[in-house]
Amino acid sequence: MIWDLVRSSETTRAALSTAGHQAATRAAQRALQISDPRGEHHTIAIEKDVLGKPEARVLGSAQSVAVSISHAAPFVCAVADTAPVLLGTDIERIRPCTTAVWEACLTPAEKAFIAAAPRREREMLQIRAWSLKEAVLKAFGVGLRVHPRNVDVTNALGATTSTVRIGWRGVWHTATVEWMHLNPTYVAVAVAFPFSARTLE
Amino acid sequence: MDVRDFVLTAIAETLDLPLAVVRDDSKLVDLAEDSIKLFELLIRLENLFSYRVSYEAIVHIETVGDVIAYIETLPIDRGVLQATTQKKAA
Repeated sequence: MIWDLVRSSETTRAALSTAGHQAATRAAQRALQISDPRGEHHTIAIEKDVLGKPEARVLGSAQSVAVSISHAAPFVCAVADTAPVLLGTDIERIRPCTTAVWEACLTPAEKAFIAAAPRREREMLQIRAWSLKEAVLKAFGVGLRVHPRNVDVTNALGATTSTVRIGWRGVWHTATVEWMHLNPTYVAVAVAFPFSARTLE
Repeated sequence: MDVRDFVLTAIAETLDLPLAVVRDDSKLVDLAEDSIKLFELLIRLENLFSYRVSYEAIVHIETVGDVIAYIETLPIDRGVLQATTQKKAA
């Protein structure tokens, strides 16, 4: 996964959206360059698929690069991968949220994991859980059209490696997860599921 | 207080906004700080109207007006709104 993280000087939705497209373009170009160092420079167009999920299309070729974009003002992040993966990213500001949010969105296993953690770590774990759930929902191209409780990220919350098992509607899938802490207040995550027919079930 | 006022108030309170900026044509993604706030709004509306929302049914929702129109279609108990309004007033 190739990351591109920027701090936008403008924080309007339009400015963040533009910055997100630019970040996705740079990430896709870098991913292509890494996969083929001797290859030519590629012109990228960020387009949306039928589900509204962004993808980077290489102009003049049939090739496309998986990309995902997220923003939490003033930060924008994009990830790209030339491998056949379902890719999702999310960036969140770390702050307290109402108990009702966590009651509704966390699975029993996630709640138990967070409750067992030291008190000072719980807020961070809650936001990490949300962020990863949203990244997974984006990877599958459904966003919040599917309840976040359908995603179980317990293993990823305590993982010390980037390869973890994530629950998606009761089925466990292997995924690669990368975290990025921008400063004490923001956290970003990217998740990639190897593309297969089973993943899409 | 009718459904419309109820929804506008719930959106303003949940998203920490002055009521005046919550207009029918306002896009929810423009009003909310982020997705957690949008989710918080969703579960607050579910709790207020005692109705479990089908996520597939709200795919089309973009604006405050869409939320009001959707909630108007739900088989909600208007007495609950009245009771909540009276409780708030007290």
